[in-house]
Amino acid sequence: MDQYLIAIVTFTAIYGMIGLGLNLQWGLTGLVNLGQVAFFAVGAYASALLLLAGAHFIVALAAAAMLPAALATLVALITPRLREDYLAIVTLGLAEIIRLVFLNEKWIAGGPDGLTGIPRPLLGSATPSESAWLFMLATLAALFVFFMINWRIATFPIGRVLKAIRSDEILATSLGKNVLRFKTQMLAVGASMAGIAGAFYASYLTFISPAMFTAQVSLNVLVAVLIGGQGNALGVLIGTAIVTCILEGTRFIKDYVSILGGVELAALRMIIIGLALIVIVLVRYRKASVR
Amino acid sequence: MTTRKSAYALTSRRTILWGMGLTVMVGPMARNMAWAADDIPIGILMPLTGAGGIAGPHMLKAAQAAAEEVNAAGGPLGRQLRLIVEDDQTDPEAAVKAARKLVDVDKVSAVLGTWASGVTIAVAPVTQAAKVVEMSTSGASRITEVQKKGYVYRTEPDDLLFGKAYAELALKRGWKTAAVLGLNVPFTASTVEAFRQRFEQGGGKVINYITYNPDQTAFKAETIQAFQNDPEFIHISGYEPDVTGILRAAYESNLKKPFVVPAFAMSSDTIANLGPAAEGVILVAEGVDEKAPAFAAIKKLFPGDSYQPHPAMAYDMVNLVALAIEAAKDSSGEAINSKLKSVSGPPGTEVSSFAEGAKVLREGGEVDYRGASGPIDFDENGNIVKSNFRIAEVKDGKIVPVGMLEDVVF
Amino acid sequence: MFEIKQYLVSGILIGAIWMLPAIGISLIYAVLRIPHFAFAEFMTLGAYLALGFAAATGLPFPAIALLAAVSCGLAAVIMDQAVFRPVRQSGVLPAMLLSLGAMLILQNIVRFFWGNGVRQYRLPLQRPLDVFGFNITPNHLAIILVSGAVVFALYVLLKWTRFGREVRATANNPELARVTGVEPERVYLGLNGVAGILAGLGGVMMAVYTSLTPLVGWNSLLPLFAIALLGGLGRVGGAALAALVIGLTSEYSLMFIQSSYKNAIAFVVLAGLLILRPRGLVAE
Repeated sequence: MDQYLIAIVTFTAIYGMIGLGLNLQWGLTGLVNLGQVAFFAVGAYASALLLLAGAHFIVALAAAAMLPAALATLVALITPRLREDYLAIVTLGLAEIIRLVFLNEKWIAGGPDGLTGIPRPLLGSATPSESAWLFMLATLAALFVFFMINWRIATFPIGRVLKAIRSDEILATSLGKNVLRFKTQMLAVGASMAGIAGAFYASYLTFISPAMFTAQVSLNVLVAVLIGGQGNALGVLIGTAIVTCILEGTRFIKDYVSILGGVELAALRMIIIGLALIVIVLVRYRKASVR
Repeated sequence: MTTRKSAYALTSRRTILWGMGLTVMVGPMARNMAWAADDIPIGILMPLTGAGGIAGPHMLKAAQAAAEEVNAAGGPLGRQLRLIVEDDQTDPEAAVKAARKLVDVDKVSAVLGTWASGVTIAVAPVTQAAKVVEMSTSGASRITEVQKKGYVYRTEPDDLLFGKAYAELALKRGWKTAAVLGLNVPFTASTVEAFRQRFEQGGGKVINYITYNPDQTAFKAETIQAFQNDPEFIHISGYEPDVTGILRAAYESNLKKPFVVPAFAMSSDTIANLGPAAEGVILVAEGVDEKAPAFAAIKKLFPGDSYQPHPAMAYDMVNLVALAIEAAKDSSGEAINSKLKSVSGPPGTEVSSFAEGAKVLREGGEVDYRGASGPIDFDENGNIVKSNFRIAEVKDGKIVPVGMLEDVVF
Repeated sequence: MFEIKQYLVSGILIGAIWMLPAIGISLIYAVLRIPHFAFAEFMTLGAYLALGFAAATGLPFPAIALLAAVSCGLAAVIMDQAVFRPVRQSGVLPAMLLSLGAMLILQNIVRFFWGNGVRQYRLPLQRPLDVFGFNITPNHLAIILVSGAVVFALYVLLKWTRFGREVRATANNPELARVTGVEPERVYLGLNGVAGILAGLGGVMMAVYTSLTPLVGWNSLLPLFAIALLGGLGRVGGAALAALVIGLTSEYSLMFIQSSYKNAIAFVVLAGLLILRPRGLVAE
């Protein structure tokens, strides 16, 4: 039982890291990034390829942080003033294209075959259960670091700037802050977080393939951040845990509810997430429109 | 930093969280109480949803039938098999979580039925670390690398065998030029490469090779490309949806050539839907041993469309595991792993069911299981060493067997 | 040479199919000012409703297609009133999120009732006709003609009816429109209905041309938005032309790049548009 829980905790921590990245971009800065999975994938592949080529894990981790950040900066350059709706469309499209590239360009990363045998740095000589424990601890440590970064940014002066940007861009600009620069930086840092999460993911599973980086991942993380209350780092973690429970918990329901087959249950799972998204948005934003 | 309002919200979220966490933990405990203490838990991990969702449910049915037979005959070591079923959703990540649960929570000795290559590869580290046997119907050649660490067995002919079979078929028919349409999934590359090698060895040439993506639904343009330069036949390496789309597109563009496709890409439903567009298509199917006594069970489960390689394999997997447990006199994963190769192949008395085999084993003999999907003899990596392929053609809307390719080996 | 002619046909065909849902999305974007992702999934819903109606009744296929399309229109209106109306004044973000949620729900409702597999309508396979030296089956020709007719009807609707005038007024300047007596909610309601019908019809056509899968809508998402933005938000003629451009480009791209990247073309167009016309494609 404990190995199973360790696995669940590790996965949840990894998704929590992605969520904290999105929180930085969206929760704190108001950037609508619907393609977080793209940065997650780039980080995962970058780290995996470097580790497989024998690079030191620091190098792999650095690449997993830098490459997504570079990609995010590119996105920021394409998207005029990072306007909400354009950014949403561009990031959604980008995630799809990244997946297509990884799927089709065999020479980059094995195409549909993916990459196997990805090593876990420093843990090569550990027994399987030791490796699982230590890896979980490492993931939780990284999660904690990201959590602190989120918390600090929210509470420090820069957080106030971001809040200002989020609520009234024009005002913020008039106060002399370079809005675009801030936004781009936040997009990049959030992307780095997702990238590092990807590095952990790749080493944890020791296998990655394009099939694992679909748009659904972006949506799940989005819902997690939404549940948590944007900008609230602890909330993001709780939201991630809740989404994980929905996705994992339904596995056990089918033992009791035999009328629903596997396909229906899988669809129902997604419908629940969609409903959660709608309900939360309505609850949160409806008040704003009451006149 | 948190205001009172969000603290309240946090609390109620926390309650939800606890509730769900409890469900996650109570669920399996509640179920375990229904079993007998010495029942042997066997994990079933099949694609009940996702891309493999067409295959999974049938495989499950066959596995359950096999388990019932085994239990009716008393069960290995006089104990009953309990199948614990999980859906891998044809997704490696979901599969890993499900495998973890089967291994850690349900404490299974074997995980049977992984279908997609990505799933099989992702699950292997989990089962290998826990010394649990994994049996798969995946064909991708790269899995052999993973199998070298042990504990992973495949009942499906490796893609290399499949590729060779296509080439043998083409050469037999005297074809010299081929076009290939390949779905961008793992099994395609290795199959097509093996095909190309054998085909070129025999004097043939692949003049067009076009790949397309899963989830693509329009194939007109790709089909037209395939017909360029007039190849003598066209091999489609894909699954049902895309093969259907291509055949339709060809028909609707008035393009006609012999098509060679894997039999798992065409069901009788598809053929009925395609009507004239399916006429003359050549199907190559991995071995199902219709003459084997074990096949009778499959015929019973799937009347009318009994050529079901993967369910036949699932059936055989359960039987093999039961026999291995009996032979090793122990139900742990290690024990199964130590005896699986020996009960699957020669030397030994040829048997076709658990009942037969258990009798021989209890008298001190060895067995060689001959399954519904073929002789199933594992090599040192856990792959089947040779396979038969059945060739069939679609004539008047029916699948008509026209021959066999026997004993295709690496 | 054969390929060039065939790509022309398939390019126009896919363009004709995409045109309708793209116009719907374009109008909604111009008037409600949100990229409404969920309308791609109304394509999916429409296609599968047609499947359901075909199985349940014995009506001829065109009637079924119409029924499915109208049902989608209705569903879109209900969705709009129940889910989107409460947040009308709250800006783009909540509406986009709701659209994502709706997208998820619609696709999975289809999966719930019809499963994940690929299906076909029970339509007989057809041999191609020879039209001025081009091969095209009767059904596909019908798709192009129907699409053209619908686009023409929309054009007339927007230019010469009162509803059309109200739509254009609201798109240009909502406050001014309200002052001149236009009720925005009526416009939104009507527009959602129209967009729903267009999407549903597009979905049925797509499923006739290719097949029914739960991903019918999702696979068209990028091209639809590329078309809407390329054609100029709110412009029927523009969107129709853009659809043909992107359809033809996607098909002809096969001469140079792998088929797998077809959808990437749409994205490249999208990105290119945004880089080159940063002032925005609709009056702010």
